[in-house]
Formats: sequence, structure tokens, C-alpha cells
Amino acid sequence: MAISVWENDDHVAISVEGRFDFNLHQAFRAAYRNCDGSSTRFSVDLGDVQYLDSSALGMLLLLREHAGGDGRKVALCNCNPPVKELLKLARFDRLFTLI
Amino acid sequence: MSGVGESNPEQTLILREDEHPREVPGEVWKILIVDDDDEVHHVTRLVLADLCHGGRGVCLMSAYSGQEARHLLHAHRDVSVILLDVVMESEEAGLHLIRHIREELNNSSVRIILRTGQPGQAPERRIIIEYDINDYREKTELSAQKLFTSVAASVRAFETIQQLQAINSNLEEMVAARTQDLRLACQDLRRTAEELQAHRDRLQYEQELAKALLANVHEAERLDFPNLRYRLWPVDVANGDLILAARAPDGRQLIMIGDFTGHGLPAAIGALPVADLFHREVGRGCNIRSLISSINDELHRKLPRGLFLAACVIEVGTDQIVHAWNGGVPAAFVYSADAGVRERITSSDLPLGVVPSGELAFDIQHLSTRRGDRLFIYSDGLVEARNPEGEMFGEKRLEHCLREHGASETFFERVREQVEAFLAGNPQADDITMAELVLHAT
Repeated sequence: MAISVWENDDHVAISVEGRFDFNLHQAFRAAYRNCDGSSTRFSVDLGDVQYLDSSALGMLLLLREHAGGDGRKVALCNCNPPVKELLKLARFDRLFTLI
Repeated sequence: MSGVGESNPEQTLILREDEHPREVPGEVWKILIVDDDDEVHHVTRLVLADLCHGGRGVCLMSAYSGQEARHLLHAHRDVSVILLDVVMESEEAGLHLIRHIREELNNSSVRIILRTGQPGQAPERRIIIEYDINDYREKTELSAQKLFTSVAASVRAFETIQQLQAINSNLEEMVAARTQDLRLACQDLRRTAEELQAHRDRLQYEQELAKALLANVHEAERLDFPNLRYRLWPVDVANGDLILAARAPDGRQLIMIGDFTGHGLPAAIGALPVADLFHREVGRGCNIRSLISSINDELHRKLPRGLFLAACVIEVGTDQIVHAWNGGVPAAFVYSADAGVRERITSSDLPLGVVPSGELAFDIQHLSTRRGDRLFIYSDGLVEARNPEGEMFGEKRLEHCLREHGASETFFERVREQVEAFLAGNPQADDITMAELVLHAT
């Protein structure tokens, strides 16, 4: 599976693997849609992402909105250099917590 | 002789049946004796009365003519063995009955033992070849034991045929059921295929709509500035690259290159208000900062979350100072033929439409330029073009192109050649837009 999800009380960890593009649109949304965004922290593990496009950035923005528009509640983890470069190109480091 | 059956077949039929011990179908083997000689009936009944096979006894039925036999067979489709005389109401009454049974009643399972007293009338060799019978006996040679054996063997053969028929009909039922299943599955598949085709058609329609919308935006652009040249290198599907340029009333030039998230219709829909707003704002003399702000606010208000416009906006003052802002597209360059790349305009802000303008950094670079300088801006499709190994074209190769061919008339063609060589047959995945602005143009 390109998207895996682990949940506990107040934390949802989403892991993305391979190409993070429009094809994952539904699966990515399904990963968090049923969680209460106001009381949940989210982390998205991008460690196994080889490719990320602007649709993926759009999906991350939708997750951020689900979390109440608070970038401190959405962490993007394990970004490899090309992914980090793209996130910084779009200045998404200002919208999310990069760890 | 034959007069019995002809006078009143219904009547005789009932009379004969009264003699039978029981008439429960399936529980006895029905054996039909067809002969015009009463004595034959009598003897046969004596011989076969206690015949029993598979726990089932026999029910012996008598007909005294071919005609009477027809009536009985019509009423009893499950007769297992017929002991048949040849000469009765006519010379070949028995033979006619065989044809009737096999061809008209279409009964191939009943076992027929031909039993003749006048073999001259029905020679064995001819009969066994021409008529579908199962045994041929002369009455004179047919002892009680031989009769019993022949009938018992015939009952067994009939039973086997019945079993085979049951298996066959069971198989046929299974085949029919399976065929029905397959037919239903096939119908489902056909319906799914039709649905898919309908989706495909709608998608194609939307893509064509998107392309037409974007084409209208591009066509409406009057990018006829002598110091600006540009090239759009779109892929089949409208991916949403956008290039806009306009001159303010006071002579400042504003150029914007943008790339919407996603593909097709959403990108095209976003492009429409941006183009309108760009021309309106520049036309009323706004500066780069307020232009960025109004486009950003418009998009943030109107676009659904997740859809945004990565863009680079350039303002060239009448003093040829370049004011540049980059939100999410690869670095633009200021370069000259002799000095190569002198300035890089890298992304320092969020793309347009993501946050309200109050949250943008508005980190605008101000660059002084000199004669011979050129500004090169492009969409990410150029540096993100990937070869079959997954490697990206990248800024390094682009800078190399700029150094080699930058100021030449055929610069765009050279870039295109380089990218195509790099793709090595891989399809172009994203729109590529390039624009070059000559600064200090007189």
C-alpha cells in the first residue's frame, strides 16, 4: 500500500510510499477524514517518497485545513533532500512542522 | 388376431391394465409384450413373473397388435423392454412399430427384443442392420431360460441408459446454470465497460473544455513586446501553465509566469480570473506588491483549498531595475552572454492562493541590471523533466544551456533539443513554458 495509517488517542501517523501524486488523492484523504481534526495531531512520514508533485502539496494543504489550519499540529517527517527542497521551494516549511 | 386392438383400443387398454399388479412409476420395470398370439402372452408372463432387478419387480403389459402397442407406449413413456412380434395385423406391423418408437416417439432408451415366428418374413441380417433393435430371437429357439436371460440383460441395459441419461441431464443443468452465471457476469462486465467509457468520455470532454479555456486565455494575451520572447511547450492535457505580460500606463513592464496545482479543468478555471485581474491591475498602474496581493486574495477567496498557483512575478521599471518575487517556482535567472548567470531569483514565499495576503512574506528582490542583461523565467516542467532513470533535467543543465546558447536567436530551440535528448524517449510529463526578456532594450 502506498499509504499506511496508524492511530492512537490523539495522534494519526500517515506514511506515504513511492510517488506522492494525484493518484493518492482519495487514499490520502481517507487516511484522516474520520478523525476529529480539532483534537488530533498528525504526522506524515515522507521518508519513502521518491517523487512529490504539486497535487501532493495540495493534499497536504487539505490535511492542514482539516487540522484547523494550524501547522504546528501537522508534522512532515523524514523528508529526503529532494522532497525537502520542493517543500522549501513552495515555502511549505512555513505552513508545516518539518522534522 | 388383429381385430382386438382395432375394435376399441381404449377399452382393451383399460382391460389389460386391470391385470397389472401395480402401476407405480419407477418402482417396477415395465415390460411390454406385443404379440397377436394369446399363448405367447401366457407363456411369457409365466417365465418373467418373478423377474427382479435392483430390488424392483416387473410389471408385464400386453398388447395384441402394433396399434394397441402404440397406445400403451403413448401412455407409458417409461417402458423398459418390449418383446415384439413382427407379423401381426400386417406383415410388418412389428417393424413399423420400431420406426414409430425410435423416430416418432423419439424413444431411444427402451430395449426392443424382436421375437419372430416367421424368420422368412424378417431375415435377421437385414433387420438388425435396418432397425434399431437390441436383440433378435426366433420363437422356436427361445427357451424359457433364454427368454429370461435376454429380458433380464435388457432391463439392466435400460437401467444403465437411464442412469447415463440422468447424469447427462444433470450435466446439462449444471452447464446451463454455469452458462447463465457467465452470461450474468458478462452483462456486469459490459455494464462496467459502458460506465467506464462514459466516464472516459466525460473526462475527455472536460479536458477539451480545459484546453479550450486555457487556449482562450493564451490567445487573449497580447505578448507582443519587442523585448520579450517566449515559448509554450504544452503536453497533451492542459496542465495549467500560464504566462502573462502587460505594460503599465507609466511604462513599467510586468510579467508573470505561473503553474496551477493539478491538471485539466481546475487549472484552467483558475487561469481565467488571474488573467483578467492581472490586466486590470497592471492597466490601472499598480505595482508588483499590490498585484501579487490582489491575485493572491482573489485565488485564496475563490479556489478550493488544495488548489494554488505557484508563480514568479517580475516588474521591470523604466530605470531597468528588476523587482522580482518568486512563490514556488524554480529560480529565475538574470544573465548576460558574457558574464553568464548573474542573479538568481529563488522562491521565497508561498504560492498564490494558499494563505491570505496578510500572511505572505512579500520578499521582493530588487536587482539593478545593465545593458546586455537578460531575464529568463520558466515553469518547473523544464527543470523537472525526467529521463528514463528518473533523474531530473535540473538547474545545472539549464545554466549550462544559458551559458552556451543564452543570447542566440535559436536559444529556445537549443533548450528544447537538450531537454528532448535528456528525456531519451521518455514522454514529457508537464507543460514547459520559457520566457526571455531583454533588459535595457531601446
